[in-house]
Amino acid sequence: MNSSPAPERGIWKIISASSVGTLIEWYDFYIFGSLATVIASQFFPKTNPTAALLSTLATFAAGFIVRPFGALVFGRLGDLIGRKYTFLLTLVIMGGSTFAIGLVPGYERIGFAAPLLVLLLRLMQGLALGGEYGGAATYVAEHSPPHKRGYYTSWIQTTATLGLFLSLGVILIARHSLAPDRETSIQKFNEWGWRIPFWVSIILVAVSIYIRLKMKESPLFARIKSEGKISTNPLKESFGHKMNLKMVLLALFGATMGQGVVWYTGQFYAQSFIENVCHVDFEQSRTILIWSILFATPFFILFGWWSDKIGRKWIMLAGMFLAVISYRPLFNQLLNISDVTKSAELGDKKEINKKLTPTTGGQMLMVTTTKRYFENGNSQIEMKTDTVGTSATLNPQLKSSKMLGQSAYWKIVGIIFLMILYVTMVYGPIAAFLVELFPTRIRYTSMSLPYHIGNGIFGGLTPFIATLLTTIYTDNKLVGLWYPIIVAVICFIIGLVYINNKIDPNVND
Amino acid sequence: MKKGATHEHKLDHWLLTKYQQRIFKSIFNNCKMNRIKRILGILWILLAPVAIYYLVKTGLHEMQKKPVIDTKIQWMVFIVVFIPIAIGLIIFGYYAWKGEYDHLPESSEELT
Repeated sequence: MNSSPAPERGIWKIISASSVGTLIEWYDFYIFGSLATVIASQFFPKTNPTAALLSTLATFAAGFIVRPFGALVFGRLGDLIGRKYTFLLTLVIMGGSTFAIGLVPGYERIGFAAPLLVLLLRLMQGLALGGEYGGAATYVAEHSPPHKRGYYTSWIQTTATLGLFLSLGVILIARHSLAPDRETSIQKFNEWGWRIPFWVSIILVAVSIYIRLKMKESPLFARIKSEGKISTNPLKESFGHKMNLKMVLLALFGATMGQGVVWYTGQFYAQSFIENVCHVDFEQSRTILIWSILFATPFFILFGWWSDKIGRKWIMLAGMFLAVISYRPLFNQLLNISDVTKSAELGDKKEINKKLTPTTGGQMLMVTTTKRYFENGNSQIEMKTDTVGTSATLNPQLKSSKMLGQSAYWKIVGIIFLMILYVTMVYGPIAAFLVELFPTRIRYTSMSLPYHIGNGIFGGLTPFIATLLTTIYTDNKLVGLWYPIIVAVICFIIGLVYINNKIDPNVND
Repeated sequence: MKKGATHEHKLDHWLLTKYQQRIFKSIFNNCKMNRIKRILGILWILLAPVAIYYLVKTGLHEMQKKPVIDTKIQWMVFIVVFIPIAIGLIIFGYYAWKGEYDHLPESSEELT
């Protein structure tokens, strides 16, 4: 059985087939998160406590915490039946669940079954994602020559970020293309148009399944299978043997834990921060992220390639170190740049619009929109909604958002770019690093678990924990950053002291 | 060095001494590094229960302060998820303390 690396032309087919599928899985996973508010209003009405409970579970636990379980289930399958069929299966489960979420009728039509179905499908998504990444990374690495393993696997690493990019793009396009008028289009999107990104998934998945069906099994796995050397119980071998378990723990505490928090702080908490703490406009906060991702993505490849020359360890640790020392000043800059009070208001440009709208309860709603302009190019929109004309008034609601001027907008793009650059440093070489830690017979299982604990739990919970900290210590807007900083510091020390920078030339074992 | 040794012999002797020095230095550094690894192992063993104590204490305080379902779920999830990870950190610390990470495996024969 030939187990030598694939020829140069063949490897690009392998990389593209693996990457497209992984990208689609990330896309599927992110659209649920990006549309969480719309989905909550359709399936999880706050008036029903059980539905609200399911909502918390669906957005909170199912997506992230279930991922390590997916890593165990599908990792085991991948080491038993092969990489090709396992990550084909995860793709089918992910695509099917995503498409099905787009078909589930709302709470108003089928009642309690709606949130239950959505929760179940979200669980399936988390499980599938837990199984996908390890398979794709292993598959590409097992086809790569030793001196290019970091470079080739870094293409897989771009997919998580590009999946987010794609999901943001599809959502923004769908939000604006349902009617010629912007407000009507957004209204239609909130009613039913949010289903479009879920339906789009099935086309992408179908194409990817077609491509993946044509792929061959990993040569290394095929060889050990033909020699009868595959593991009979990969879970027991991975976590029951001290020699393997200690490497799994080292991978988690010395690499993936810190990598996970750096990733989720740079890409997700940063976006949530500029939207909810800095109060930057919904669409601006998303386009800022889109630009930053676009500029930073090539660096995944660069750092993957570089890790083949100088080793994985120092690049990953440098990314963690830079994140630790610069997060607080960078987030502080985000606050300063978006602070409208630091610039004089252009009083003559102030616009006030009042609009009366009748409600279904026979009341009249007065919406007062005040737009202020500032010398630095920023503007602030305040929307006050109040009831008029009746004695039974609702509590007046005040919403405020800021539109950044050109200069402030690009400065924030630059800051987010820098944070995503750290992501590319910690994430670009990590697939090659993990693959090289474990032998072929238990590689899928052993590398998937630390990856998904690091990314799903430590990383995935970053926005929640950071936001939660800001609700406990309300006087400090940057307090949420202590969570990623402390986790990254611990991981940096463990990585520095215990991890070897040596590149394993032989993953054929 | 013996009297009357040739220039080549002197050079050989000097190189050998340098080589030996380097080996000794490397062994010394390795020993020093291994000692750091072991001492830090104790820190990881202690860090895990401290982190869980702080997590449970904050969680209980927050659940009492705001006894709604969302708060309870959030904190319960944090506690349930992070306890096994903390146990993992204790095991990692124990292995480090026992010198299991003094030498990292370089081939799969050492692993399986």
